[in-house]
Amino acid sequence: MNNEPPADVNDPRWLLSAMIDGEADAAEFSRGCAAWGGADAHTRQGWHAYHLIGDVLRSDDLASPPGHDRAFMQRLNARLDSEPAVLAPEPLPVTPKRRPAWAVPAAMAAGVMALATVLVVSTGPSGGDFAKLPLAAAPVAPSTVAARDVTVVDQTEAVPAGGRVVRDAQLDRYLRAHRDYATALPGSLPGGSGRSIATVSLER
Amino acid sequence: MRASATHFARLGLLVLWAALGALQLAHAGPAEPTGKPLSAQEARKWLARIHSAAHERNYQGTLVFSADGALSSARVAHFSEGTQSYERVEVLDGRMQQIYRHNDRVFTLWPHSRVAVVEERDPRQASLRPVIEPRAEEFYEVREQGTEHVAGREAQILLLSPRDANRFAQRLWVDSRSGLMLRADVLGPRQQVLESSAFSQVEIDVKPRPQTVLQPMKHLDGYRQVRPAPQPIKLDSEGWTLGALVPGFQLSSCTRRPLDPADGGAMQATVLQAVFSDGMTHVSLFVEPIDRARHTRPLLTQVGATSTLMQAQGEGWWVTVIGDVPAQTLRQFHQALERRR
Repeated sequence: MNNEPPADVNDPRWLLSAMIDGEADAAEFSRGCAAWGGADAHTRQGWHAYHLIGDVLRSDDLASPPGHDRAFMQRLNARLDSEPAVLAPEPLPVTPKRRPAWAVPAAMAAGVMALATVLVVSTGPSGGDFAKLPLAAAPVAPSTVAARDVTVVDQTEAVPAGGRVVRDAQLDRYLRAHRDYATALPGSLPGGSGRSIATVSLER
Repeated sequence: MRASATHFARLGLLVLWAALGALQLAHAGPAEPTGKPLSAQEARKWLARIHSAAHERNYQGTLVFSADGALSSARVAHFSEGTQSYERVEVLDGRMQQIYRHNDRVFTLWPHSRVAVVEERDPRQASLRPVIEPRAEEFYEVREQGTEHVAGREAQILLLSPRDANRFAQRLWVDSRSGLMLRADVLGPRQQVLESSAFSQVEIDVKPRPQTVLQPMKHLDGYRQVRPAPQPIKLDSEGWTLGALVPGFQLSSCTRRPLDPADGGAMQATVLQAVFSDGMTHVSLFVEPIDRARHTRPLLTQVGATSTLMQAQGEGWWVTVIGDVPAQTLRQFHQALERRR
């Protein structure tokens, strides 16, 4: 379609295009990366647009807003920063007594540039059984996730819950009526119907 | 155009990285929990033991509840003599209340407003018989996770993981000697503790003192007595049908009741309450005619493990769904409800 020659080989968009085509040499490649990694919104937009075209040709679902990739990288970097530094693999304690059950698969990044290899590592079913873990080429260790990740409530439209919830005082009446039924379940402590009712009856 | 589809066999490493990253995020769920899953029979045995200990043992202690950083506590006593069962719960924080129960008679005293709510509970509500619903193990996987001390006693830890996303996991600490539950945590999808209740102090196998429950039930001087009479009804005859229910939940009771019997005034309006249980947790569905003064805006909120969904149904009805389940489950209940006429 549009076969006009590139106006300028230093135009970052030309570099990106060459990179996508696999035509860029090493120097061009690193210049392209530098342009992309910088704060130049135009370059990112171009990069995004080129991919978007291909993506949309394949499926509408792949369309994503510009800035998405960068935002993703920033989020991922922030999460990596919050991971504890790991120096060497170490067997877990043999008794799995208080290993936090919320330890989640740890992502380890090896080789940092703008490009990294991410390993998905499960901490495995039994605390002492390090050998059973999926083998990974990088040092691994059980990871504790930063508390702010763990407490994220996966609700989009929920009113933020907490000590000072903005809620209807009448809500507590429903809650009380609901909890009248709690005692018949095996998982309820005997005083369960009194559970935290008082603490949620907060003023607006 | 340079970026045609043929180029994407050689996508930038960035995209590969993004894909790997997305994979990692998608798998950021909880790790496989420790402990071997118990057989259905073993699981049922544990749950039956917990249930019968709570109903047949004599114990007293202080329970502490914590959710979203808020704490509250209650003094609890339970006595069982032959077929008679007695219970006293004194809520110590906020709007204080005292609950006295003798078998199915339940008195709830509100010392500040001097109101006593006297109820003859539906036996299904506060059952004395240990009824373990067999479907509890069908929808939860139970694991033993070692022992730990709670309130000075050795407790066996049990993890109940849901087999689908319609309910929360629970971790229970069960007294090794008596089977009494000493602590219970409700866990969110990432195994985070949403809510926790625990005995901070407990004595088990105490001498039963039923008089400490019966005496206050006889002396209601100065209290205005309210006797709500919830009527058992059928959703069907009220003009409602329930479509596809959330798997595992069954209707366990349906009544028409005053929403807040302790309130003499505006709250005398009655609601229809249908209660569904999966054997480990329950969900209440309230239906009432819409009252524009009170029912102003739809609401979805979560406090601790308890979510609440409120919204209008059609022109004339207001529906409230409450339960210790993910919000998505409440939505399914709401969607299942249909007006027939």
